[in-house]
Amino acid sequence: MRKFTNQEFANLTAIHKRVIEPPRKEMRLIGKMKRNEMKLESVDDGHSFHCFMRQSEEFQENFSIGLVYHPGEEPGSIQLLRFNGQHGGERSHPHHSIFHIHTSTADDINAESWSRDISKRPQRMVRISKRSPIFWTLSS
Amino acid sequence: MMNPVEILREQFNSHVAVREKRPGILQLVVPLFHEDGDMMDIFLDLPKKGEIDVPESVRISDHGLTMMRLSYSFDIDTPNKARIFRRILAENDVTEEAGELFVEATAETLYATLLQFSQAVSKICNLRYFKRELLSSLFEERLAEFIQDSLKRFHPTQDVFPIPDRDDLAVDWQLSPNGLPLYLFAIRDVNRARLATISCLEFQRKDLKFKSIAVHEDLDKLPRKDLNRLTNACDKQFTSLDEFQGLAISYLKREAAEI
Repeated sequence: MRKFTNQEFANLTAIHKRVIEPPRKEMRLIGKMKRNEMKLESVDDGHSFHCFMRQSEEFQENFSIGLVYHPGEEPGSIQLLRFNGQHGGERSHPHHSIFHIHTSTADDINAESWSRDISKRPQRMVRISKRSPIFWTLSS
Repeated sequence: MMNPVEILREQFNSHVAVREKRPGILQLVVPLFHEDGDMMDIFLDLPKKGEIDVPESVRISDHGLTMMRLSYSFDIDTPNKARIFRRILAENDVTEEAGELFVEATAETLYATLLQFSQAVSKICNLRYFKRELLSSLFEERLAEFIQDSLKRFHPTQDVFPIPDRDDLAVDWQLSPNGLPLYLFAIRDVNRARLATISCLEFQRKDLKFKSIAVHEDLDKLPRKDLNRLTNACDKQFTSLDEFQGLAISYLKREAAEI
C-alpha cells in the first residue's frame, strides 16, 4: 500500500489548482447545516481534489472548510486541511473557542489501513489561526 | 430544584465546565474528544426557569453538529447507510430530528445519559467504519438471499471453480438460464473487482464457454482504471444490488430465450 510523506502533503496543498466543478451560488440547507462543495484539479499534473464548505445554521461561528485529495490509484481520499471556526475547545485548548486549522500528517495517514474507501480525516496536528481567510492562499 | 450544571459538575467530579452558546443553550466543556482533537459538540438546552425539578428533564443535544461533521467525509445517501445510522440511534436511545441528535435526561440520569450520548456521537462520526465492516457482509448476505429466494429457477450454485486446478479463481455464483454457465461476481471492493477481471480473462484464455456478470455494491467506489478493466473483461454489470434485484429476472429470462 502506498505510503505518503509530509512533503507530498505540503506540495499537494500548495500546488496551483483550477476549479472544474464550481460550488453552487448558494449554500444548501440540509437539516441544521448549510453545505457546498466544489471539485478541483491541479494545473500541472491532474491531481484531483474537492473542497467542502459547511456552516451550522444556528451557530455561524461553527463552520468548516476542507481540502480533500483523491489519490486515484486507490479508492478513498485524504483530508489535507480543514479550517474551523470558533466552535469550541479542542484537546490542546479545551477551554477556548478559537479559529484553528487541522492538517494531516503522513504518519497518521500511513498508520491507518488503506483499504477500500477509507476517507482519512486530519488528525492531531492543529494550529491556531487568528483568522481563516488564508485558506485560499495556502491551498492555491 | 437543582441546577443541571451543578448536577453534572458533581457527577463528573468537577471535570466539566460550561459556556453559554446562546441564551438558554449551554455548551459543555468536557474531556470528550473526536479523534482529530476537536471537543465533542454537546449542549444542554435548559428549561426556561434554568433548573430541573424532578421528574422534569433537560435536553442533551448536538444542535446538528454531529451530522455536519460526518458530512465532511461521508453522506448517508443509501438505504443501507440509513439503516445502519438508524440502528446506532436506536441502540443508544438517541432521537434525530432535522439533523439534530438529542436525548432527554432527568437529574438522576444526567451523567450517564451524557456519556451514552457521547458514545452515539462517536459511533455516528465513525459511521464509515461501520459501513466498511457491516455493509460488506450485508451486501453479500443480501445478494445471497435474493439469489436463493428469487432466482431458484436459474439453478444457482455458490462458490464455483470453473478451472479445476485453479482454486484461486473462484466464482461467487453460477446461474444457468440457458445451459451456458453464467458466472456472477459480487464486487464489493477493488480487490474483488481485480480478482473478477483476472478470473474472466483467464477463463477466456482457457476458451471456457461462459458468460459473466458483475454485481457491484457501489460502482462509484471503484477507481476508474479498475472499473475500465472489469468492464472490458466482463459481459454485463449491475451498478448496485438494488439494480440487480430490479433487473435480474428480466435479464435472465432474456438470456434463457436466446437459446
